[in-house]
Amino acid sequence: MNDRSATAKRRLLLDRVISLLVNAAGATIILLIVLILAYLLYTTLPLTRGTAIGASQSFSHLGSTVFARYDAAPWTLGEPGAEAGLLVSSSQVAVRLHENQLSVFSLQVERESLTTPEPVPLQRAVLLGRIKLDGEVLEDTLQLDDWEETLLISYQHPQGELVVLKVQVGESAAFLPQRWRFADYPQDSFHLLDASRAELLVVGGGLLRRIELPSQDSSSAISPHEHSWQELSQRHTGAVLPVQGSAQAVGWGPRRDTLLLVDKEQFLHRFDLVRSASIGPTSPMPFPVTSIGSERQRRVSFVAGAAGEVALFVPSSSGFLLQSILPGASGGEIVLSDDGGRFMQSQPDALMTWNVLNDYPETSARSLWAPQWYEAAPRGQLEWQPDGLAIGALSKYSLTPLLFGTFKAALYGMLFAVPLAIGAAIYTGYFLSTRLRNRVKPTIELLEAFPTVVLGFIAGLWLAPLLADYLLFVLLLPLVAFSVPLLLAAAHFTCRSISPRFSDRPPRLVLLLIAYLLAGVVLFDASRPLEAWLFTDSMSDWLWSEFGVHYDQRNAILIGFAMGIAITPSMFSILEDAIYAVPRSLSDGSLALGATRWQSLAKVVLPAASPALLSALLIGVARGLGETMIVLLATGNSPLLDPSPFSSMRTISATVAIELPEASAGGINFRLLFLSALVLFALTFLFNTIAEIYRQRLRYTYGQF
Amino acid sequence: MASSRSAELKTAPLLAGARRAEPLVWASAGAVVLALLLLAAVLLLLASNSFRYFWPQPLVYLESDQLGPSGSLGIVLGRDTGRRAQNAQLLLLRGAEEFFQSPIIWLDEDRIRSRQQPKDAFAVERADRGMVFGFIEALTVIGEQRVLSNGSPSQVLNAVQNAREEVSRLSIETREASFYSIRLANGQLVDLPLADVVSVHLPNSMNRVEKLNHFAAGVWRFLSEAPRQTNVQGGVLPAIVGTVTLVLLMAIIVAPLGVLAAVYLSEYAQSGILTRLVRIAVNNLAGVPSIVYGVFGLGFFVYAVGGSIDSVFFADKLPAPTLGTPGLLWAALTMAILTLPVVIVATEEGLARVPKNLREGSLALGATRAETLWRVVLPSAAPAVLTGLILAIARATGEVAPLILVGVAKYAPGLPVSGEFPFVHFDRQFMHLGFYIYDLGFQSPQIDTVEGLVYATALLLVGIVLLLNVAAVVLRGRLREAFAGEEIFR
Amino acid sequence: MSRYSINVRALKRAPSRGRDPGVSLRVEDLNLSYTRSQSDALHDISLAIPSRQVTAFIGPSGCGKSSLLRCFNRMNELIEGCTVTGRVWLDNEDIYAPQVDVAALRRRVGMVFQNPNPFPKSVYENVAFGLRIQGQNKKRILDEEIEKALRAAALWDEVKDRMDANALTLSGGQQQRLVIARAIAVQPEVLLLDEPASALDPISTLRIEELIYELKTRYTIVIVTHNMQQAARVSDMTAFMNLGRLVEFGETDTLFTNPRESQTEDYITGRYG
Repeated sequence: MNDRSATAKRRLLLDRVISLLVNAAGATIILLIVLILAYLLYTTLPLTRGTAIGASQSFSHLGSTVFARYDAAPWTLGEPGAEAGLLVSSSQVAVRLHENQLSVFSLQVERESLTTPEPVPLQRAVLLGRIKLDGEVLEDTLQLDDWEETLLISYQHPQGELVVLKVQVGESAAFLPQRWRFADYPQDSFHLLDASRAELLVVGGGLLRRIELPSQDSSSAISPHEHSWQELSQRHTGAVLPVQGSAQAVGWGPRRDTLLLVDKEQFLHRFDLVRSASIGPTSPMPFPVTSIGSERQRRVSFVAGAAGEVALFVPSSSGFLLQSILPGASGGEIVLSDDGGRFMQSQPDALMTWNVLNDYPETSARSLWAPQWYEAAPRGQLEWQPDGLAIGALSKYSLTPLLFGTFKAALYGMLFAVPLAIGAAIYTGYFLSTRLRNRVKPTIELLEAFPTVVLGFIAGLWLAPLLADYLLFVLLLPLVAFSVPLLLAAAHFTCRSISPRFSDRPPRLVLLLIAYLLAGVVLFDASRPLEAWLFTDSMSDWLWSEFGVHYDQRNAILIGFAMGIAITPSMFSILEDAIYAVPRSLSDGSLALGATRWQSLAKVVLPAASPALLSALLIGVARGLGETMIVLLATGNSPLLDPSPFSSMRTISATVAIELPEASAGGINFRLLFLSALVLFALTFLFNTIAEIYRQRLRYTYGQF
Repeated sequence: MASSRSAELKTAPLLAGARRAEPLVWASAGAVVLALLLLAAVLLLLASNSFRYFWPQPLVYLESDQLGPSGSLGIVLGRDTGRRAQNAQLLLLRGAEEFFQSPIIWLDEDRIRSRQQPKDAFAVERADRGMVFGFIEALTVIGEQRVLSNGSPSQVLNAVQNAREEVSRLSIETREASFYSIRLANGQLVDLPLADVVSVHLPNSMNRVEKLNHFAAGVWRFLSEAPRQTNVQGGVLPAIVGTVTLVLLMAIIVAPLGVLAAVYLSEYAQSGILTRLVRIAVNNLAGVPSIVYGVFGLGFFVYAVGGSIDSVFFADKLPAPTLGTPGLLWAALTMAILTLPVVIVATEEGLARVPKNLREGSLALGATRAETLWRVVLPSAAPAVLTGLILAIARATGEVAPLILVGVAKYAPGLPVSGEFPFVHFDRQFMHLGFYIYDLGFQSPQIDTVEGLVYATALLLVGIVLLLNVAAVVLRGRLREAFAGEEIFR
Repeated sequence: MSRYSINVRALKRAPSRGRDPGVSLRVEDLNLSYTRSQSDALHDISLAIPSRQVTAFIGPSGCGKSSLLRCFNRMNELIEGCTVTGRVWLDNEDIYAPQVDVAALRRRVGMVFQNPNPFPKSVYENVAFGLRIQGQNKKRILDEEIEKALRAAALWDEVKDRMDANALTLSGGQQQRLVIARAIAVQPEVLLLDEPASALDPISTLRIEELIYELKTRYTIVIVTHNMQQAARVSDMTAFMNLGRLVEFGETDTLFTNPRESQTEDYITGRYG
């Protein structure tokens, strides 16, 4: 008895454990979907993190202080008791002005040591050479810019004369400065040096002038070039642009592709230096601007005012990322480091820095979905180009073309799949005998078994070149698909009218198979000569020359085919099940009232199965939106916004598959790809849920029979 | 009255006649035929191209104005008819890529002067750098020359094959002194290493049996060898092993969870909000695009979970990741989530088909719910569970998109299973048939030369998936028959 | 049909007589309701079922007789939204008490259903099922018990040579006797039969009825039937139910020949039902 109760206890315990396990498994399913959603959100949410000013730091002067704008952290260069004098630096080079002499140092200090704001002895910088200046120099006007081995220096004399020096600072080159002297340089002008293009940009007198500073042979460099301003504006003009309003501050746009100007009314103007044109509308700045500039690798610009007001903005978009007043700022010029990591200001005894927290500047809803007026563009654009820096441009993060491509691929797939799935489901579910249906249905469903990578490969590598050659044939195929059955129907009807001996149940499938094969072979052979005859050569060339329609080898027609094959079986399956499940008695009732078979189908059976039709369509679209391998292999993956069937597209899924393995974890591209995956998830979730609701409605309807 | 009625029946108006012709019935039947045609066409395309890849193709010697005085020897890969007759072109694979600018060449048909199939033309498949076509004239084995110019082609073939066998047994140093001299179509005589020869044959003088042998040997090498020469040659064994290991590991993970969840829905769930939520979750899991699972797998499994494991257990190896990088385990887990709904739906269907009175019979005998489940319900639903697993495996075998993100590799030096501890290497990247197709088809600079290999791989993959699907259909049919006519629970 | 019925009636009477039947199952103020449907509910049922006798529940379909039967081994709990109040005593134990082990209860109260439901296993394993789940796996004991149960169910001679055959290959009547053997193999005290012969042909029905007669010497048997002749043939006590209420409960002979209630009379004379 004791033994028995022990057994009973064990059994009861086991029962409880199993019950717990089973319930846990049920909960796990919910947990999984919540986890997926939560994790995608968790990775995406930092994109919405705002911009803020972080901690500030002050570095007291040691001798003289320099700050390098390029590097992530400022650093000081100097030693106690060293000869003082103004120091200005760029990324590679520092220049010291002392007693009418410029000393040029190469900053060959390891980057790592630069990230800590410790004084670096001036001895560690290599003196490249000295330049004797002819007369007193206004210290505030000293500017320099360097790019690779070219160094440009400019300064003004008290009388207003502007001098530009160009020096090759490479180890091999001799230290021989070229000198341009602009005697009557207008007082209210602004200028910027661009070493990479060897240009001087001057804004003044209602014009933006780009003045080339070409290298000349060394002999002529000994004597300085004397230019009057008048002469210069005619002889050395690269491009001239009209400027409205008078400038108050001028600075570079992001990556120096644009020039930014704030006029006296505090309106911002942008000038496209690639296309030599003004860009977009002007927008007002929130305070009197004294300095303006931009980051080098991201589309972020700043303006700063005399009282320490700063604002950050994306020039291609409207609105501000940040407006703030820097605590502890004094009257000097405020600048943003080239990587956007901090604001810096040179104060009388110290260098002051403010950290900037701005990891995801270009991810506002507007910049992700609305057109952006980028540099080097004639109008607002929707572009996806996250690897911009690799191809010598700024990255562009518009998700719109990806979403467009996703829907385009899905809809072209549906164009192919819907008639096929509906037709096949109707015939299999309603007209075929049960015995034949039980064979045909699983066979059609085997289409689902083709791995999409195989369909994509066939479409991209076999069909794509074929399509280019047989475009007319392919465009005629839908026509053939519809007209062959109609012709056969007419033929059968005629035969029956002539002789009633013809069966009213012809072997439709066999006849159609033969007819389709015949029509296909004939049309295939005839199509190329026909194309040559109709369109003088190939149809794609004709489309281009006559209508300007661009033909991509991997295009939407191809996707229609491959995607169509992929989404047909699931739609067919849902629809066929629904049609087959409609009780026979319903259509029998209709037939008994004298309706034809098609009428019974259309008036009685299909309405009963209509929720399934909707459900099938939605599930088909959802499949198409998420399909990856086919679009990856057969779309061409260009993010175009072109609905044409002959053009390429790029879908969200393909973008994720291509770019995510390369994206660095936590970076902006990584998070944006997670965001697009989230969009895909949300879309399919929506479509599937609506489809499920309709399917449940269907079950309810059948419950009544 | 009666007579007028019958008259009505006979004089059908034209519209009614058109209706009776049932054009739309024909059209819908057309859709069935088209769907079946598509299935057949895809299979036929794969099968015929794979066959062409393995079956010895005749070597054609072509002389053309395009080529200058000497001709070209090779396999005709394809023909482009052009829009007008004079535009027709042939695509010739002439191999020996180190001696010609390109291993393939397009030749205008109307400029071809002569075309013949020389009986003594050899096709040599090399381990490195593709095929060579030409006429073997001499052999040098370990520095000793064997002139063959007076032998018949088949004697030469034998000599080369024997020499190849001999050389394969030699040490690496002595192999270098063994080569064959082959005259290319452009008249150049080149010495190539014997050790590099994978197979050699005389396609133009083979009989059916020899061709069949060659075909079988080719298929066997395809299935049993590793890829060579950055994947464009050789076999797909590592990809097969990778795919199989992945899906088996996935099946082990997904089976218990999927079956338990189905049991929950079918046996334990009370109708309530929780059950409704589970159903919505299952439906949505089934509808989530596979690439989203990949994104989730990469972010959650690889970076979050794998990264945490690394920082706790493999901290000494950091920053080099151990599990915090795409690999077999994460791929299997991701695939398990992806295929979970497949297992749940199939199992639930099977459970629903187990008659209610079997459960009652067991419970009435004093069995607990767990005992009823284990001893009566699950054994009866076993074919359904198996069906679900097979379908899940089929789905996972054909799925590539998530793998791109969570663990598949273009070329993995080590197999995911091996004889050394721990036998299954969860952290390794692996090769996969589907990804192999994607990679070959899209990353190869010369797609025309690898097309055959891609087709063969695609056929293999489709074959496996199709077979699994057919097995599932048959099994499901069996289950339906077993309980046909029984009172269905629910 | 009538020939058999006379036979059974004759067999039935003799051994029962002179035995003092104790009470096996006692029902007190039992109420049962379903949230899903109005029918099959039970209202204020109280009755005592004598041990080692056959008690039959009769009544029109939907009267709740099957529901009542299922209360005796708590099978009703498998139906969602079913609420039971009141008490059921099995040998002075309240089977609805919270600490009751339902599985143990069901072992003591066996049940056979309308449609034979052998498991898709061998004949042997079907009968062994109840023993095995209680941890009895010794072959010698199993063999013994199974033979005993099959003999008791009058099936032994028919299946002793095909113990490994799938139970689904047996005929309907054999299947039902197998299910009875399966139920008695665990040595229950009470055997509930829910229309055990309604799916069977007359010959099989007869054999089941003979079997019931045999079994009542050892078990308390409660049988639900829609067939009044069957009730009259096999039962000692009969309860007539209608619309979820117990209308009349008494000795079978009395109830059929001299019903107290007019409802009962209407039913047994075939005026409705």
